[in-house]
Amino acid sequence: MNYIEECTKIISNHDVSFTEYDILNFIKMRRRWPHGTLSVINYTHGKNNYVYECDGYLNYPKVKDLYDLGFTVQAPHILDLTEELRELDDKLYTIRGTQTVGNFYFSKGTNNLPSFPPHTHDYNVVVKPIYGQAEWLVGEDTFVAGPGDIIFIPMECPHAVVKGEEPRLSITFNLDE
Amino acid sequence: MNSYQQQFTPDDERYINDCADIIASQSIDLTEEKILDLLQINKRWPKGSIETINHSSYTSAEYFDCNNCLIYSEWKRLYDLGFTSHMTDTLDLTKDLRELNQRLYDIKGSSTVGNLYITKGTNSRRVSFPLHNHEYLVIVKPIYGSCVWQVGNETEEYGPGDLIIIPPGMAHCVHESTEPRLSLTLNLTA
Repeated sequence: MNYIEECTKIISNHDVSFTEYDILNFIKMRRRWPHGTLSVINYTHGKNNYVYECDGYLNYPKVKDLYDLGFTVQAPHILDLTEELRELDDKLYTIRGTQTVGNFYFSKGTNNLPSFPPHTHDYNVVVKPIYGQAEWLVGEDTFVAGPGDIIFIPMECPHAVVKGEEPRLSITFNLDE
Repeated sequence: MNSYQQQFTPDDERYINDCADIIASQSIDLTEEKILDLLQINKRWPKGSIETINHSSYTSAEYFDCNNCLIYSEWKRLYDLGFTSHMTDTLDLTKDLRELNQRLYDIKGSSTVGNLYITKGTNSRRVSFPLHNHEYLVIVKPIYGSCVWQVGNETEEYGPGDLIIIPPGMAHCVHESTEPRLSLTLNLTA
């Protein structure tokens, strides 16, 4: 088994339970989210994010407002949030020799902008859906994925969520080689 | 509740009593286990947000990584040795604390600084800051564990269910703390 397969197996086998209530509750812990840590994906491709207060911490009502309008929220570096996530980071650490970047994407699934447009990275990404299904484009393939599935996105492979019509949370793991 | 009346105008007194009523009536469900869990959300704890009280009578905070995040295991070692730690600005941490902040906001018109003091209470290390005072009013709400406080000339044991009101300029400290203890101090400018 190679490095990527090993990591994927760990991610796939590790239980992560998270509800919409849990995630919204974590977002209310405003000092966990200093400026730039969380963004809402909008038609500026997430570049304009007026969701922070002047003290540099997250303004939850603004995020919630955009979330309720159907925009998808991206919260990077979240493997510290719960014991399950910390355990998963620890398991990956034993193989990778470094901490792993894990990002949350969550959405109410009512908007016509389900995520970033097709794009690529210079690292591999493994996606683990936690709740809710969405339609993905990876390379030339389009498919529906949900809890229990694992999506593997090789480096430089264009990918996007093309349709997300139900409340959805997924974690993306960046696995450089 | 200790006496503090002499120094305040009736208006101040009404404000302090309103704050004290809210603080006393707000239930705050926090256990040692829950606090230790929250401290493992290491990106919530950059340098300056948590400090350990040491024998230089100030604080040490040598447990952060290069990303400015708490290294929980290193902090925990000091905690297990009996040192008291001080977390600043904690009213965002849980639903109860956020509720308390919101209720105080409605009479103060501003957010409140609420700090948590946590110790295992082995009393083998400095139990807290030595006698000191602030220019603002402080109300302390013990969450779990009792300890002996000095406020002005009075020395008394306080625990959950009590409130300690420390008027501006009044010298105060914790003298003895022999059991696991968590208390919330609220800085309220009168």
